[in-house]
Amino acid sequence: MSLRRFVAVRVAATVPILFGVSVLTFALVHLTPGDPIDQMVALNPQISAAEEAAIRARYGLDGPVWQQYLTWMSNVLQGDLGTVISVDQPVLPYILARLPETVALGLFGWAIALLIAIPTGIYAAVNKDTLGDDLSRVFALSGISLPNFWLGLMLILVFALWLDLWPVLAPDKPLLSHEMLWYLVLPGVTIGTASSATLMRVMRSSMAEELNKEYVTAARAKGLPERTVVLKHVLRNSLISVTTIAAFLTASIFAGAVVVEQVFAWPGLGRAFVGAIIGREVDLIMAITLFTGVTIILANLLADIMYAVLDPRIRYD
Amino acid sequence: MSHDAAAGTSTVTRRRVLKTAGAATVMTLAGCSAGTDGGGDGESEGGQSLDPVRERAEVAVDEIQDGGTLRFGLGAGIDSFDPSYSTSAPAGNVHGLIYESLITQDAAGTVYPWLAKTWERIDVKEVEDGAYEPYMVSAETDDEGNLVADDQIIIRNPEAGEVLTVNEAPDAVADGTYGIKYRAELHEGVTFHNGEEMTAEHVARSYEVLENSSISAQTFDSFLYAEAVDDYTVDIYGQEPDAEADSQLPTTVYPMEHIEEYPDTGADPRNDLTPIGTGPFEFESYEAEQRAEFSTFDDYWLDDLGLDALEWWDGPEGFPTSPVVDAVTVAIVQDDATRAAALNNGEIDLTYGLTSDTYGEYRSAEDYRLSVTNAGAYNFLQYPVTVSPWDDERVRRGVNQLIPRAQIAENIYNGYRNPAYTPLPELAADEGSADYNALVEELRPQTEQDTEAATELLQEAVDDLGVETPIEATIETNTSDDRVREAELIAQVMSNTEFFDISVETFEFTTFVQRILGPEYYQQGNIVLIGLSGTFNPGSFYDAVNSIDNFGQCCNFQRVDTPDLDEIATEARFSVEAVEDPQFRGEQYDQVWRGLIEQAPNSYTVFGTNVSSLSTDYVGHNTYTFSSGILPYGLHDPTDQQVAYLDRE
Repeated sequence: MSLRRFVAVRVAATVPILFGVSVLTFALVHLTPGDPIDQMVALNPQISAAEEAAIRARYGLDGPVWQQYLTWMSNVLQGDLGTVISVDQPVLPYILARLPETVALGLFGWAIALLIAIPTGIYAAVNKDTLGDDLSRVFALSGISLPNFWLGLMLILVFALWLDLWPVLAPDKPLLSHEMLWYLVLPGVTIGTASSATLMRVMRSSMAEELNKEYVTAARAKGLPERTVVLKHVLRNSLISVTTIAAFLTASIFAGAVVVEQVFAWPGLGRAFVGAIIGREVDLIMAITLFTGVTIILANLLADIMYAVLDPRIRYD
Repeated sequence: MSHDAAAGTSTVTRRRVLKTAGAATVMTLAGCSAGTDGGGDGESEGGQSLDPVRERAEVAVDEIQDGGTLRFGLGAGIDSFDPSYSTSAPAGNVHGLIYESLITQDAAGTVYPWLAKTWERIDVKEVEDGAYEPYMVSAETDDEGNLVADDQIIIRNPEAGEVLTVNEAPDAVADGTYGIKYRAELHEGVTFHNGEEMTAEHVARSYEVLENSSISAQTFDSFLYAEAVDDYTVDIYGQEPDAEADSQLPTTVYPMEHIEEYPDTGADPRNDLTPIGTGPFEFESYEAEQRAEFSTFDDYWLDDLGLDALEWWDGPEGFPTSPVVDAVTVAIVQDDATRAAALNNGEIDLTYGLTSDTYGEYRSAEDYRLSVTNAGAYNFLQYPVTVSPWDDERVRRGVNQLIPRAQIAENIYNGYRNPAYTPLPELAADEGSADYNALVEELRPQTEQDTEAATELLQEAVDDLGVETPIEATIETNTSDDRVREAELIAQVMSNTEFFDISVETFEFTTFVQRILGPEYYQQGNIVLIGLSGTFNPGSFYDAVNSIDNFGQCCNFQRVDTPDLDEIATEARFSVEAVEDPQFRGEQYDQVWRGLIEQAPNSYTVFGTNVSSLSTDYVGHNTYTFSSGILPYGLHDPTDQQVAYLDRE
């Protein structure tokens, strides 16, 4: 199968997946009691039953769930993602306004995860069963175990409050500026830690496995320096499984963003998602879920393609 | 309210002030606990409102420093920059910088003319039943049988299928059909941020902005019509004689640009529309969910006219005519811990709504302080009054006497709440009681924890009813730590008696609200524990949770029906006598509170306060009674001679 056909098939396969995700999400949101109008009524005792009904009808929340879903789907296919009821704003610009922040945070977190995981994984594999390896395991276990919100708050406490090296709140600077890059370190570390722990363990085991293979023994027998053996021959092969895992971690990076954006007052999609769930903003929940779904699917597709690039033996089938 | 019988008018002056019933905020369900300050029962003295601000910070005029940017930490997003689209407290803090109204209210709720030089009631009269019917027009009904119309509906007549809309209201007024009439003489020389001069036409037409908005009900439940008499005089009419009309009838004043050109989405930078008002600050910029910035308005009317233009002003010479800071940055930081960290790190100067466990730290820290003010929030238990044995008032009164209010306030809320020994807090005492101290003294023996008296009542009830004990029930509440602990304490105290076996169940806030607003909920036999915010209006502490009109909506969940008290409460607000005679009004409300303790459909447990946490760099700040006014009030409010400044030395 050619690469082009492979991509086409995979893209086509995303349609039923996204459809399934949309049905499931829509059902889950509607299984949860309450909607934005309930909140509005709770906060405005003077709203009469007639006014409540009118508001509900205006936002299309008055029909049966299946009908609401069909209306929503029909609108989505026409490019209308609906309305954020609490602020009476269309969903699409609302999401687009927050997307750069989440992408920046996600990429930063991802970069930090890779920067931590790959060297540590290599070190642990090369120094297997030493104190360094044990310490790397402790790091990995801690990284996976520590809740994001707690780690974020601890980083704020230590580096912002005690050491005064970072601000608590994002500076009033453009996203692509030195100040913002500096500010991104703490949330980036927070979001990247759990992923780096997972990646590091995969890197270590993958590399340890490669180091035991015959071609490594042969390379060493030829008298190649250990550094060359590890970084030139072993690393490339080890990165295949790491690449796959790194793509899968896109989902956990976004999941982390939901919490980290809340802790660091970062105005991205994750924070909007939390607000949407609390406020039962159906259209916004659906849009962010679909966007996330598409992102994860594309990341996995990219991983598969990179897999083949890194290992020519792999075929698209 | 003083009343000139000869002229049939009353005028607001420094000596003759109109006490208000309504607040700048609306009643809202409280999803989480707000920190409150302990401090015992408030006492009114000689009909004078006590200052609700505890330990008010005073500022010497000659020490005030100009300039600087105040950084305010807001715990939630700004849902709309336009007051006609949101009454949320976070948005209210922003609205108060930009927009103004004909009147303003000090921290005790006293009404003062603001954009109006004078604000006078010039007529009040009874409105006969059906008086508006001749002016009504036929209306369509929706699928659920509700009357609907394209134009803003003011009054509905479901039986006849007719409504009075804003289009017919002028005819009714022209024929003398109205309940109350106020006249505002406007200050001349008030300009909007876009340079327009404010006239009577602006005031009269500003109501158009509210028509058919999601919060229109809050205006059109009492407002009838407004008309410009001349360039600087406007008459505003209410539907009924209304003792709260002085605060309820005025609305935010908008420029013509807004009235005529802004679409239904309101003045919001998210729609590329700039909020424009007459307020001391102009909108500068907004970054979604991150920050909003405001700068001082150079042509602010009070700077030009001076404080002597305010007839009631009798403050010190040299008191600032507007806020003294140059700019305000509102940082939106939803996470409480992060907001507290930003305050501790010097990145914001002021915030509110932090968790009560941080208060001790700020109270004792050298560089920080707390500013605490009695507020209108209250927690209450609502019994399933239609389900046996809760339909027997002796059972409810018995439970009322089991509730350890003092313990709840002290142990659960760390002293940041006050026990609710009456259904009426000190906040609304002036309007809501003929003699508040006497009322507290009379009712407290029936609301203080008294296990012996409770046992007697409960024993009598279960014997008469033949009910098997222990009576099983569930207290349902929302997942707010403090409130859950309150529910658990009440359940434990009740279960410690031989009469009850009480459990507690918690729900996420929206889920809980939807659950208790369900039409069948009242039949399930559960006890609800939830928080609500009242206003300066004494009726707000009765109507929402007791009036049958509010069954199925906020906040009569259990089909509480006390028609005798509804009637008295209505009389206490919507009658000529209540408008003209504060003593009558207070006496009526006293009957309501006595009746509530007697019938006990609800048990009010604790009253709250508002708490600001701030850096000592921000000097002179005091917290407003409602969280929607914390930022604008603290900056500058001549009614309480309130001003705060930045001293970053």
